Amino acid sequence: MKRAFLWLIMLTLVFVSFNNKEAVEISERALVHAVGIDESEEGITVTLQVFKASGAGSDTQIDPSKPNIFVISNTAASFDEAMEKCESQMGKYLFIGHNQIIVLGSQVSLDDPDKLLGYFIKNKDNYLGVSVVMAENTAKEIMEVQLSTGAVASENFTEIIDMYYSNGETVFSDMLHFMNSMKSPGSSAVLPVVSVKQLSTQDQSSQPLSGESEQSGDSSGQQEESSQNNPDSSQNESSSEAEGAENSSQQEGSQSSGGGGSEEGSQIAEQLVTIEESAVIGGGQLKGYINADETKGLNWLTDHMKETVVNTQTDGKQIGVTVKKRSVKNKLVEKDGRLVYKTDIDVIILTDTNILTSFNEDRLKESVSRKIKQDCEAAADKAFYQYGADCFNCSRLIKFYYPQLYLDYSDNFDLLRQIIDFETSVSCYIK
Amino acid sequence: MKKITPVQMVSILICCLFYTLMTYIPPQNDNAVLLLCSKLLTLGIQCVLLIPLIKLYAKTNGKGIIETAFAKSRTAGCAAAVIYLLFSIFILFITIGDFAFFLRYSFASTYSEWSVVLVFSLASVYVASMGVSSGARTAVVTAFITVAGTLLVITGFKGVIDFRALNLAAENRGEMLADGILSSFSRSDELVLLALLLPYLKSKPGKTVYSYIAAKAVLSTVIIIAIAVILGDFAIDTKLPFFALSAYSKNRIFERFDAFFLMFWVMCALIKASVALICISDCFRFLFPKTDKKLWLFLPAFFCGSADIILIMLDKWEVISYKAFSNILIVILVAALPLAVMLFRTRYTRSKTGGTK
Repeated sequence: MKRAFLWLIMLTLVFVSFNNKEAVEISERALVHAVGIDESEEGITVTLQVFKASGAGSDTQIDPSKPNIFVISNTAASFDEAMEKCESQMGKYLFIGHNQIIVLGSQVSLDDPDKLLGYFIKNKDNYLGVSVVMAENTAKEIMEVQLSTGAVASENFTEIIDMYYSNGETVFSDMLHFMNSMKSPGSSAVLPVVSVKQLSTQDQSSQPLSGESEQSGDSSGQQEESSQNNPDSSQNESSSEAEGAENSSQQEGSQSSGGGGSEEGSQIAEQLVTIEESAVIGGGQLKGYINADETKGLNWLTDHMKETVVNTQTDGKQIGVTVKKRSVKNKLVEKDGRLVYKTDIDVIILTDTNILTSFNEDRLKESVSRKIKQDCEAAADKAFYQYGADCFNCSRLIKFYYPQLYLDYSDNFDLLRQIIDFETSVSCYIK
Repeated sequence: MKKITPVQMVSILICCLFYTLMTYIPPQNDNAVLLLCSKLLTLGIQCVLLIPLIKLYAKTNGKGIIETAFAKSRTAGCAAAVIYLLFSIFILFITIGDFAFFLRYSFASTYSEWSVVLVFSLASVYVASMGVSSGARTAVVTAFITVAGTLLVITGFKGVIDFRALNLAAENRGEMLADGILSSFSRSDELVLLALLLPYLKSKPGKTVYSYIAAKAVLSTVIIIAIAVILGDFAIDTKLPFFALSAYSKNRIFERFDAFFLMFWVMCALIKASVALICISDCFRFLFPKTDKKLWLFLPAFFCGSADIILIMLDKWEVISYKAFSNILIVILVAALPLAVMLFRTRYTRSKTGGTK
């Protein structure tokens, strides 16, 4: 009886599997590693970095000879339509389960993030922890930077973002965090702004890039593959206007990776991906940018700081010290009819004996404390007061500490925002 | 009849609980703190409601509700058997249907609904035919690994976890609390299975029941708080918050636990369905003692599976809220009926040894 049952189940499984016509093979899938979204008068432009199995990928940053991605771009009236075009042109089903990063162009409208990222929310393969960043200009420009290191092309991208975050130089931003921030009253969020810089190895100068990224081969004899010579010519970049006219070109090249060193005597113009500022979004619109120091202040106030370098002046000398967060406590208290966002920051100054003997300990602590406080105040002044964005989760704190107040003013959070003050205290310890 | 230990019984119930928790869809206006409070209040009420069941076990020395009712009269016994039979069939119908629906929806299954229902039903019948002790041994392993997996998921989140995401900013708190209690009751159908499985328990019904209630309180609290604190408002946008939570978790070894939990969700579904089939066959055994047990395993699986396939293929599965009225039935089957049967004067309840010589 037992064996009969087992045979029955096994045969049923075999029959069902044999008859299954809807299975999608791995070779029929296009693995998307990075998605760029731009918006223009023509519609939404989607740029995808897709894994190319024929390329082995590089083990080091100085060997860009084996690119394992290609870039495809399409424009359509909606995001879903643009993705569908990419899928049709590649002749493969898009798989976004390996997507590492979503780059939003600076012109993208953020008034309806559910609609903008609805494709990802609906898709069961999507990883909620995918990084969401904003491009300094267009997302397409960022997508064309081929960081061909490791098995996954855009792995280095997220490593760069994670490193900036670990050093406190940018804000934490993944899809879950971004969607929750945009759902809060005031629809506010802060995104890292990614920009591309070109580093010429011959003159050792760093030049900001504007417009299209440059592509060139290195002296080792590697040649840039053109779209005409590429055997995978079925992948095309196309833009469709309302009338339906299309132009297509393919971009695929032996692009050097960003962020690393270069071979001696090489003429490669390397591209660097940098994050030097953060975009502040309020009311579903891009309000402005905050610089690196203000971003650090924001991280201190929201308890996202782990460790960073603080530049300060002590005894007339400029000094940079590594500062590690010991604890950050913030709460909302009522004081004289106003709400005070009170933050107590305890930090440990990591230094060595050389610095200690050069500077007075108390003055060092005082100057570091003053600098951190300045950064916090600058962040609050610019992001909260000037741009009117609730980047400090004040709404969540009001919901927690004063739920009835939140319910009374949930439809008009701006009124509550006007009675919020910031009070920061910093205590330093030297280790 | 092979008996099962208290640990095995608790494990079976935890598997049934996980199956329900993993496919819980929060309402749009849900508040995590109120949901948690309603959950804990429900468990408190259930602690009281389960007292007659425990007392009945002790008084009849492990005889079940139906057997004790039959000792009173055939009419009472048949009535009790039919009521429990119908509800057990309802549990089986919901279990198979939910399994097929959510598997197809959540995991981009390329298999058709009828194939999923067919294979799942066959597997459930097979496990049920092995007896409750086999399923109970599997349930211990499944429950342990699922709990361990859940704890591992909770450790895999980067970014700041702020417990101040839990708040009481909700309109009509009393109404939401009451709705939460009713809703929690309607998701507690495993208590009816407990009522029918108690005759299989070796000993210590009180400790077993309250151990399960305590485990349910801890697991529900942990999962609700994790979803509220980590997913936040996004939990309402996702269809299945538990799987969204497991998909978001990442540590050095694993990235995304949703595939891991799919396997254990299937195991939990299988255990729940097979236990429901065992309860159904037991009810039929009382009503038709001379018929073959295997017939009563196949027939309910066939009819429930067929009904589920038709409803899912016609896209009617989510149209009717099948569980909306089950809260009252659960209270009746778990508390009222056992209390009534306990008050019967039968040879089991009259004797101090529960009718044994």
